[in-house]
Amino acid sequence: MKRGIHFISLILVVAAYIVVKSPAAIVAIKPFWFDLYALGDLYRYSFLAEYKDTTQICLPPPASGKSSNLNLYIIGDSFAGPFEKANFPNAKNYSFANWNHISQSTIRVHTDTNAFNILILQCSEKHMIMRLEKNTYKSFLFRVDHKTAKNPFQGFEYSTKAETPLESVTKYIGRQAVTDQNMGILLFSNPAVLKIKEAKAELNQSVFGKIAEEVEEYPTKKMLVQRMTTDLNFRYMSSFCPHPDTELDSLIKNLEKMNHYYRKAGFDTVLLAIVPNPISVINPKYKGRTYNQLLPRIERQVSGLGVISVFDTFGVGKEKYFRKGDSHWNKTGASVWQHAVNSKLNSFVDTRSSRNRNL
Amino acid sequence: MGLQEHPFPLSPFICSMLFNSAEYIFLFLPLCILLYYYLKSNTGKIIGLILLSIYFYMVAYPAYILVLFGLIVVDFLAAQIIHKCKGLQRKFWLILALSLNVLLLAGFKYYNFFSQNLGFMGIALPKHAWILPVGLSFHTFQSMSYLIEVYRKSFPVEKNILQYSLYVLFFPQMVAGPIERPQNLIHQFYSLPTFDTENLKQGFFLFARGLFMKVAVADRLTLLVDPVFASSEKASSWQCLTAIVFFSIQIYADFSGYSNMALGSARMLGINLMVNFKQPYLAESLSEFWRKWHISLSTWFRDYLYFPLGGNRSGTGKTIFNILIIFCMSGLWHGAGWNYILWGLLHGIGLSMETVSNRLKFPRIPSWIRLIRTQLWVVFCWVFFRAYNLDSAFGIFKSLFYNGNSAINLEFSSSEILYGFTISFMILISERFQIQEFIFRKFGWAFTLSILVFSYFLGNFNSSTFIYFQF
Repeated sequence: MKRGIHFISLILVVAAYIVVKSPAAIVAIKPFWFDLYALGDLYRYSFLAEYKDTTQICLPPPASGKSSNLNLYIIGDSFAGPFEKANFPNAKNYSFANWNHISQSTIRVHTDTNAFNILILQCSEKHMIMRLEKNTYKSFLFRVDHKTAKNPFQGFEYSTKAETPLESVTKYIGRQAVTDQNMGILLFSNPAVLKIKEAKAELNQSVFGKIAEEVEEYPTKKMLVQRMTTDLNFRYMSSFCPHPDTELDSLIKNLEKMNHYYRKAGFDTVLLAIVPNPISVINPKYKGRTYNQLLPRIERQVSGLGVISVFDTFGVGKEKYFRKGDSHWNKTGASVWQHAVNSKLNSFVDTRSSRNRNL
Repeated sequence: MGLQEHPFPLSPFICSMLFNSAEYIFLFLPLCILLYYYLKSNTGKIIGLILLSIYFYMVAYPAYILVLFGLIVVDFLAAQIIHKCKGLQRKFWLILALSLNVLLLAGFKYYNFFSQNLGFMGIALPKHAWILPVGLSFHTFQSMSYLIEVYRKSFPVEKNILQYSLYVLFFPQMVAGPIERPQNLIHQFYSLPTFDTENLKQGFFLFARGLFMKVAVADRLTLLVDPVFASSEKASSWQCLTAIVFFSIQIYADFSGYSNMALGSARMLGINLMVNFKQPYLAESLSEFWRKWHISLSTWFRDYLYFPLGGNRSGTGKTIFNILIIFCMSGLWHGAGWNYILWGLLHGIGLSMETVSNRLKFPRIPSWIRLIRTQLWVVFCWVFFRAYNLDSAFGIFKSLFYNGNSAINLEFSSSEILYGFTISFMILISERFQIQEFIFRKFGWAFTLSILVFSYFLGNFNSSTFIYFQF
């Protein structure tokens, strides 16, 4: 009996270990598990209960009723990631690729010569420099095959590089298999454990005046902001670290090279959509610092690409567009961006419709 | 076809499995205990422990397990040959085997240092970019200890490669000691114990104590130490002094915490490892300090280097020479840098002065003055140990004496400083009067669990690896 219990315990621990070590297993069980990220990525760092938040889904606009022949492709990050085809009723087809996937795997896309192919480069302001630097922007130039698509729309196609035996071993045995993150999901993300974490966070804040180093409390205590966007030590991501004109010129040049590459490869138009850091619009003079104007400078100076801008709109409403415990926008902010994208798409539908009528 | 997306960002940083990591505490250690006690035969337990230890090591950098296998095979065979040979042949094989061990260590750890210094003299050698295998200094020294003991015939040669492999690979002490002697460890592998609640209880207590020292002391103090050592020019004199004092506590808490977790992990399996620390900050002389600090390394140098060089039996001059050699070597063992060598040399100088004063029979001074004098010297020397290089060490002293009250850019939380001083004081008092052991005897598991609760609420779990892992 005792030995049987011993054996069952052993099997359970081994099974838990296999789940924790296997990225595939953790992805498989994720839908049935408590989703800590839904409460806010900045809350997840700080565990300050007052900033606990819930994900808000941006409702799609009503269908336009117009028939269009637009294929919409977006290369973006977690801001555009949650959007679906329904959010862009003017697009006949829609496909999304994350910047990280593009740089880590081989991606190709077949554009359709019978359709109007639009590519949106959506990037958050904090990642703009890293993605457009001399040595990195080329990794985002994926292969485009321009042809008449006979098959149904396919969108982005990924193919990952085969792993070497050493890489496989490292991935599953080593720390690279994100064991800690997986343990975090399995053991430390449920509501009961969160209560304990919140108690610890409150103790640290009230007794030691300390919160997680990744975040800062905005002085009005209405929201958390990401330290990497406020601290001058984060040269690339900070909204307050100045960038000389030469650096900016080089970034814009690379952006224009990307535009040239994709236009030549078959996209009919390429649009740029930079999502501002919350602190850039909420308080450009935060703690006496001066906003580096990265986003407006790029939007003003770039040529050859259309721009989808929400900077000015966000600047008027300030906090109202962002989540209190998350680095992303809320439902209202997402709706503003959705509206800006759809207006742009609409202009292409109208242009093409009138062109077709003239023909 | 989309990519199989992992829901959370991947960490690119590769480090060893840490005793204070969730993986170790909630999965690896329970798995070891369950498997170990489930297996009935001694050989089964040994094979189980070897496999688990290999996995434990491979978390750091999988390919380097081959280095460790090579080391085990070479030393195992060398010991067999030494055992069979006689006279000069015996010595020849010992020197050859030790040289191979030293060469391995030197290749990974010291080659770049020497090539850099030869570069200053105009001799250009290429540099390599190899990552130092985790704990290489520890397991080469442990292997050399075995070879020397077999050579001296104070330990019988081990015929079973499994037993010997476990001696090198045993996971609680594999990457940062204690540097065990074969006499203490190998014989325990011949009759591995069956499940015993008392072992589990004692082991868990030791582990919890170590965890508290690591996360609630060392990793909290590091928040006040690291910024100052990273940019001393921005720190005020007061901040420099605080950082220097707190580093002394931090390194003690970090390493003794690690050692206690190692001892505790082994104890849960019914295996006793040697004690590595015995209240070193209560030592009244440097010689006493070194009998209480990192005991397994100090005794290694004493038994295998200092005594063979003649120890203290050949006059004052030779004794001082031997001391200086040993401590320079000890400094070099800790790191390939002039700051480590100077750290060792300063301890050697301090110890030489003590030796001279003892031989000249100076009048004894009160013990509390001796304690303060000793600890001031120890704290002073730690600056060279902690600094990134000699320039950085002198930068700390410059800021300490010249920056005054003008902290240019560093923000220190006063409550964090208060916590640091309080916890440091409590540790010293608790160790002096063995308060924790007393409470544990009274309350057992309840006290252990309360230590874990305090560790969680006061602990900083974002910090890096153990300081001694780099050696």
